[in-house]
Amino acid sequence: MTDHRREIEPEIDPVLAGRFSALATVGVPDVWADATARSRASKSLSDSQRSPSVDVVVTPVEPRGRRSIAPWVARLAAVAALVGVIALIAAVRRPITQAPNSAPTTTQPALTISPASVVVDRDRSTIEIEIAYRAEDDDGSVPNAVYVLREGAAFPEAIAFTGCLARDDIQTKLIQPSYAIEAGFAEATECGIGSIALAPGDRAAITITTTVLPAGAYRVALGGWSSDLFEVVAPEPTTTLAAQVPSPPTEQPQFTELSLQELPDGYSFESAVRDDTGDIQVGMVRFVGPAGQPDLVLILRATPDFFATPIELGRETWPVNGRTVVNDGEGDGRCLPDVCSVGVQWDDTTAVSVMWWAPVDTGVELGPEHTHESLVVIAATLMDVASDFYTDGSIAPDEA
Amino acid sequence: MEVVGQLRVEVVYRREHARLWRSLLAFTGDPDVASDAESEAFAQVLRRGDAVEDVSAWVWRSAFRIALGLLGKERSHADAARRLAADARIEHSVAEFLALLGTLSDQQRACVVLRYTGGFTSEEIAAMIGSSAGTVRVQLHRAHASLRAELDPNEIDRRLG
Repeated sequence: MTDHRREIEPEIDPVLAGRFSALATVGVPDVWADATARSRASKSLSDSQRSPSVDVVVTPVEPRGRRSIAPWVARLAAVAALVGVIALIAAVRRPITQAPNSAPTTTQPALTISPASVVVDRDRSTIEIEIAYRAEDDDGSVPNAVYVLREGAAFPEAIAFTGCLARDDIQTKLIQPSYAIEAGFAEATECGIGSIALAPGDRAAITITTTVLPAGAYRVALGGWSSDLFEVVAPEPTTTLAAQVPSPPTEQPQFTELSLQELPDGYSFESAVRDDTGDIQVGMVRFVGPAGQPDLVLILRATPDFFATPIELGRETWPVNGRTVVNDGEGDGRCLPDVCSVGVQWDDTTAVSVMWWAPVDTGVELGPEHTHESLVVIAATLMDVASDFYTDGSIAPDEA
Repeated sequence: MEVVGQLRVEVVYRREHARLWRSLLAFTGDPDVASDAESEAFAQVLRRGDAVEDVSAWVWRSAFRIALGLLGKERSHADAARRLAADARIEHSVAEFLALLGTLSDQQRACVVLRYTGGFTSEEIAAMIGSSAGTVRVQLHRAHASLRAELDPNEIDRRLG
């Protein structure tokens, strides 16, 4: 078929093309972490609309670059502060050398969070903390949500657990002497937009029970305040006590290099790229199929416990070779016209998604045979590969 | 949106981020605005989840609209040129070209940037900016004429032989 479009398109001006190509000399910042943080703030805004009379505590947000933040962005940040999201980011990014409970803003209560113990057994971790409100005169409040954060991981992967002291929109609840948190949630908004009132001298003991946390250094964060670091060690049959650790991990985790032992008929290896330019190391292995068929893609992330959320949400799982493969699709998990995906936590540092992927610009759509079950069969052939299988680069094609 | 819902968007981000960011830089002339606009566009599509069928098209369209809003109405091309010249992240010749792009109308600049940095056809640009393909072609011709009139004539002669 004749491409009439080409005949009537204005020609590419070589001088302008040369000038535009020089833009490649400008370094491209990674904004993914910022986008995911903003998406959570946006979600908080929509939730807050249920209760327009909310008494918002505004946490100042550092402007980006030399531009001032637009009013609507500031509003998002203000509402996000209510559920501790922006404060949470600050807690994640706070250097370990900083006094852990120094006041980040003048509007936050002087709350101390002290880890008392960590008990690790085969199928759960139990963290006990004590909180104390040490302000002399002023009353304060903290939101319902409480987080367990892994030190050294990028946001939002750093959120190892999100729990609720309460699940309501009540702004003036009295603090209880003790809390037991056993359920984890995908979003802090599950806790509602309520908060707990604090008077000088208030104290509480909080017991948080999670699925097994990977070994590493963690903090507990509540309303923008975080505890000292404590260490979770590898699960053992006996009790392990918490211990202070002197410094956070400094090296970026590396994922275990994986590929497939067997490919579907007609598919062949295209590329394997390891990308260290973002907040976490990521990788992409791409296999191309016959004309009209979607690509088969592996996305690897150097992050622990990546699929805990879909598992906690009750998504479909399949036991495969001693590991758990989970439907990590969007929404209700159905395959979409352009992507269908399952995921598996391969080891402590490697989360891999196996997906049928039909890039929009190819016009290809997934067929009825491109199911989660077909991906589970493929995921069963995942294997370690030699260290020279991946090449360094960007998984964005135009940066490769 | 749950962590699991980020996967499809993340794939688009990894694939198109660099091209989109550079297009936004060319459109706005400001690296910070480019980052803000791209970040906000991806944040919004993350929030919408699978209500968005074509993530790529949605993000491109939204990012340019957000960028236009962030630029505001009280812009001074002279101020923008001074800021670009002082920005250590951007080579002098690139800063000059970005400042030159800033003299175009918003629509002309969007068309020429989406054509050259984005790699889109007139039909695709039209769908993105809510215009017709014919109008886009007219804007491209005008942008070409305007930019070439300002660029170094010796460079044009050299490249065209």
